[in-house]
Amino acid sequence: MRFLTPILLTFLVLLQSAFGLAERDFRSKNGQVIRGTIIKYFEDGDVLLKRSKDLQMFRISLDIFTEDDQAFVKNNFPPNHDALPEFKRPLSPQVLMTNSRFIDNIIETKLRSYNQRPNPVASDEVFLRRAYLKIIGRIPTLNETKEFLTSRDRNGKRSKLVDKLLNSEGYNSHWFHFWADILRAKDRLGNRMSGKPYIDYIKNFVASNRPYDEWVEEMLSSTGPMWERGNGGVGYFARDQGMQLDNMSNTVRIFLGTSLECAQCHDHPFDRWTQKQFYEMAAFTEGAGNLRRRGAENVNTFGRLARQEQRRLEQMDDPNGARRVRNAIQDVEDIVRVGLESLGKGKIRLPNDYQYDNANPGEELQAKTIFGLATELDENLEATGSRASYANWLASEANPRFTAVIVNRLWKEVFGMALIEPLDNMYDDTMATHPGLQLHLEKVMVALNYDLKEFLRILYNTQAFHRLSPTRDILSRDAKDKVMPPEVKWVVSGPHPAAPTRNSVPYFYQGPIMDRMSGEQIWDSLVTLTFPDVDTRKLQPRNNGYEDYERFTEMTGEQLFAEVMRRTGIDPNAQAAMAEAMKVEMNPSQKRAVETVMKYADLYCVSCHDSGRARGDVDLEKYHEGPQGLAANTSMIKMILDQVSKKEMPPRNRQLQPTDAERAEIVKAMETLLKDAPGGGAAPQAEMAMAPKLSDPINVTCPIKPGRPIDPSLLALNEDGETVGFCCESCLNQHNRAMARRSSSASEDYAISYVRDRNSVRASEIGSPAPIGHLVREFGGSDREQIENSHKQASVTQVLNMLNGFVEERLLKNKNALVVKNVQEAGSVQDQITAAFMSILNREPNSKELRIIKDSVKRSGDELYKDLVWVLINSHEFLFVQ
Amino acid sequence: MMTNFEKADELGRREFIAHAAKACLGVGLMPMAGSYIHNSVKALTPGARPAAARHVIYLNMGGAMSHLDTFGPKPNNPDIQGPTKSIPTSADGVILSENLPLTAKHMHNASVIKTMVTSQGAHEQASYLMHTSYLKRGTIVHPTFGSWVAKLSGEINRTIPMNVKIGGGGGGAGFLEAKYGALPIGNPSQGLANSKMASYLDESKFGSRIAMTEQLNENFATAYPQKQVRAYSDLYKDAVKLMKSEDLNAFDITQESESMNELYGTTNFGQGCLLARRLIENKVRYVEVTRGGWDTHNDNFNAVANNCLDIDKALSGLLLDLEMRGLLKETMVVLTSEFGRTPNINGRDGRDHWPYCFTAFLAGGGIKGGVSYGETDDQGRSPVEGKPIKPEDLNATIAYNLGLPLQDVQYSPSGRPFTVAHNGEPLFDVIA
Repeated sequence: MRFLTPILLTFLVLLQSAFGLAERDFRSKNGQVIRGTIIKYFEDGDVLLKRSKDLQMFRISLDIFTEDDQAFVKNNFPPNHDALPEFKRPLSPQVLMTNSRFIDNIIETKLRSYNQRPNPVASDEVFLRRAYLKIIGRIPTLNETKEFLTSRDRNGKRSKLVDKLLNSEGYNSHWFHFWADILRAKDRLGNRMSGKPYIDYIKNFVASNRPYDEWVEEMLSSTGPMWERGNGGVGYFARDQGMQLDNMSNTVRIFLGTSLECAQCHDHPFDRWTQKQFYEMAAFTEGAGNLRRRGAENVNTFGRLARQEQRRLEQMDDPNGARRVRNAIQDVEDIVRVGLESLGKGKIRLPNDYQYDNANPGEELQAKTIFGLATELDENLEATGSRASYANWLASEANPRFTAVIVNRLWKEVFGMALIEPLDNMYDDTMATHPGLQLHLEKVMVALNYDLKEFLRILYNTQAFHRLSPTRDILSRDAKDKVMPPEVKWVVSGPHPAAPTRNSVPYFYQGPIMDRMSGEQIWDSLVTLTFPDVDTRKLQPRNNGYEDYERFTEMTGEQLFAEVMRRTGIDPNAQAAMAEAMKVEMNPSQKRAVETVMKYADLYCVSCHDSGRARGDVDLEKYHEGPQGLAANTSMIKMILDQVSKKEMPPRNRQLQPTDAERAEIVKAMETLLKDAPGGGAAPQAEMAMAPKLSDPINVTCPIKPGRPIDPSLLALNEDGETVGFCCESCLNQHNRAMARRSSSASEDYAISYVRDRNSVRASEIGSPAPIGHLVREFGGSDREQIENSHKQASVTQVLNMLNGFVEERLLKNKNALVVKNVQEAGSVQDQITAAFMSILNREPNSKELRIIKDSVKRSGDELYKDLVWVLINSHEFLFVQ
Repeated sequence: MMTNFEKADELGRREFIAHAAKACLGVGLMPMAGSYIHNSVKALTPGARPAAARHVIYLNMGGAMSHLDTFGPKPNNPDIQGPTKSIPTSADGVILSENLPLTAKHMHNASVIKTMVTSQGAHEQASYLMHTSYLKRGTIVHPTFGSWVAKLSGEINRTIPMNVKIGGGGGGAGFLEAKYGALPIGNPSQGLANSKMASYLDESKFGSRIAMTEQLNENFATAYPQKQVRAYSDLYKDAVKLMKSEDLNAFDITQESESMNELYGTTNFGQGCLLARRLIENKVRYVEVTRGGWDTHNDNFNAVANNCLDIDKALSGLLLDLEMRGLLKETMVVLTSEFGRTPNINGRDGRDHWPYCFTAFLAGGGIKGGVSYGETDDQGRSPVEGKPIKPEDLNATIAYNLGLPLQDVQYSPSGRPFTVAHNGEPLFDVIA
């Protein structure tokens, strides 16, 4: 007994804290009063009520209570989610099928009750294209198409395809957009604030498939430096820097599907939220608008030293130098000081113009949740912070709207319309189209422990997902009075892309809705037609803020200062050394080398790197005056050598580029300088291990054109640790993939290859948001300014781009484009037509189509492939996901 | 189908009034003042008011421009005015801030409304209200003003779009058909992207490709008789027509002389204004040019002065150019923002959001010259003289000048009624 007491006590305390505020007087319709607490809210409408006076439990139907009390229960308690046992993951085929069939049953029952039938099951061709586009965001390649269509595994191949796609790299790429659009993730969060950690954080969530509730809770309670590895969740608050109130209403909208923004300035006109409640909620995140951390000791020391130096330069009348130092200080501070210090104060003041009677202007409010079980601030608020309670309350199964929103988001992505529309503007009386289905999906989500990928696996395995799309326009739910059952209280939805016309049909998930591809899907599909390894091509990452953060935090203030001075190239010591070097005579080979370099520098470099502009703090012009300066500056020599040989400089987007021969000449001259540079002879051996003398100047094994010369910037190690060179990036990538396959013991069947061409990678790599005017944006890719701002409206510029843009410029002009090769190599005209259809529309042409094309392309001759590819990409069928 | 408005010319006066009244009943479901109906009927009385302008160039200062440091200075109150001085203009009694010296010379052709107010204090919502006259709701997307112009002007069979937006996003047609939405131009100096066919093609080859595509599309379009599919069938026709059209030159500002670049400035905004003028010359009805960078929570005074260098040159250049070409009398130039900025200067030398008062600048077709409408209190906090002018009222003023039917009802797919300027009333004090 003594042993039991503490456990019981703990249990009671827990109950008390979680349900404490739920104790109240419940009134029945005939006037009886019971004081008690709700323990459980069953899905059949009963509640388990604990009577306060004797702690006896009653299971009572909610119907007997007054409307007020009924509303209290419905608004604050999620229906009993734990009715399903936790599923073992990954789901066994039986559990998977049982759940998918269960959903199908609900859908089909509903359809039957309105005298409708589900659509017929779609052909393999339609399913294949739909599955690729919806799960990994691109069309399948020719090989992938053939592989699936020729597979004889009639029963299992669709399910296997879903499994394969869910576990592929393409999934990460596609679902990143889904979240980036919701979370408005941008590459730049402010003038000097990078959004990379935030973006990486989202990508990591998608790739790792962590439990959704855990992720949201972590993100909303994250604190500390943004550049600390894994701490990109801070970016969620950095996105709304200085706008903590907006951030809170965004959070409630995104994760709880509830619109609070009206109540920021006045009581909500259509919902029950008051301005006071808004501020009580905002109290949880008070302080989260400030994204600047107090500096650690080393940062402060560094700042003091660097500012001294800046002042010194200003006094010495060197504004350029002072500017460079100031920029360098900011560069360091941007890495080490951006972050979130406040954990949430739990208190906030009302605005001074507060207009209602329930509180005074400027009054301080305590944090209080708007619905769900009241959450209480930790006694130890200072240490834990109120944002932790907020995150815990919000991202919880016990919060009645948290699960409802996420299941609807995923359902909408799969079928085209959510069970609740709009899913982020729920009211107390909002009901799903299929209340039973909604409840079941929530239970499944809980039983899956918020494993989104497994949840999707269930949806993709439903018959409903395998059926043909409705062929007519979908009736907007606004028109519910005419066709919808009276018991469904719809929240009026916005104009669906398929707005109603005379012949539109009501939608009960008889098959997924046909929709135009998103901007990202179109881009990714076009890139798929161009490059074979599209999912694993990634953009070469540039600077690495994470590493800088780690190094900077470990350095002392003095070391930091030295590092920054080294970067600016105006370290006082270095200046002294330079002056020393100026006295030194150069040998003739050095002189010649400097002359050579400067000749080309004048042509290609000084337009940016002159003494006035000094882009990147590099001034090459000054070496005309003091050539010894270059000969003595080892780090400059190394930098030039490195960037010129890797073709990083001049920047790729500049038109004026040195020829390969000129480049080689520069590299040779720089190597001469490096050999004789101070301390340069030994160091480069270690650092430049990647630049060995290559015995074989040609690549005999190149599959594209054997015997091409080796590009000295494309090097890698082989199995024996020797350096080998390659003629082109695709050979190098092939080698790297082969090496990765050999080295990884796991059954990883893909390896990432890094490229620099932004036109050769998937939309998830090109930047967030995609640049204005980019094909992705033209086709409605989000500008990441508003929550879910992507759209699918049609415009003339889209069509112009399809007619004359990417397809002509990047596909048809590229002899190595995958689809061009596949069609050209196909043989007879008929085979070429088939190859084009299989590549672009992922099906064989029918006889009518064959005839149309054969009739029109007689004159095409050698250009047949161009006509074929162009025509099929510009067909309506290409643009739509059936 | 003709709108009521288009029929107006054919109908006798009495019949027309009856029509207008019917239309009013349609909108009558929405909250509105009784006086509005009266005004609107007056506004539409044929003969009394033909369209005073055919085109609009709407210069949108994104991020909320400080009214105090531009069109609504308070020279007598240095506490809220900070370092910004005021200057006289070419119109008696109208002053502007010193940041707009070139624009000041055109003030005799222009009106300033000093009593703009809005109900929204967040960029997104306020900008939405300015552009659509309706509050942003989760339940519907309203058409932007330019889309209304395109829809209500009722012109068909054009190759050149009626509604163009230069810089920035948005401009969508909302619940109207997508074709009324703005044609977006990202970079004014590049003109209309992708409007030339590949060099190895000729008309006949291109034509045969298009013909082949259309034949192949037949099956799909029959299988899916949906609006979204038909939209692309229409747009392919439009795009091909546009590619062959002379009108394409309208988008090419490289055909402008160097002196034009000097006049407008070579900034993105200046070039945008230049393109806007070129488009107007080519019969585009509505052009919006956006310039961001006004969200001056920090360092307001330097930032505003800097931004003004750009807009002052472009705006004055635009007005001068339009005047010299004789286009100013048929083109309305509007410059405004989504809201104003706080009279109080914050700790970072910045100004924060201030929806209670801001300014709008109007010039050209149908606009009185040298008018400064309304007055605000000493601190520029809120209107004290004249009516507070809501975004709906500003849009109604523009629509009125364009001769658009203020009470023509367009129904959303769900059957909800909407009008071009919601329940806004034209501000006759600035209308010539």
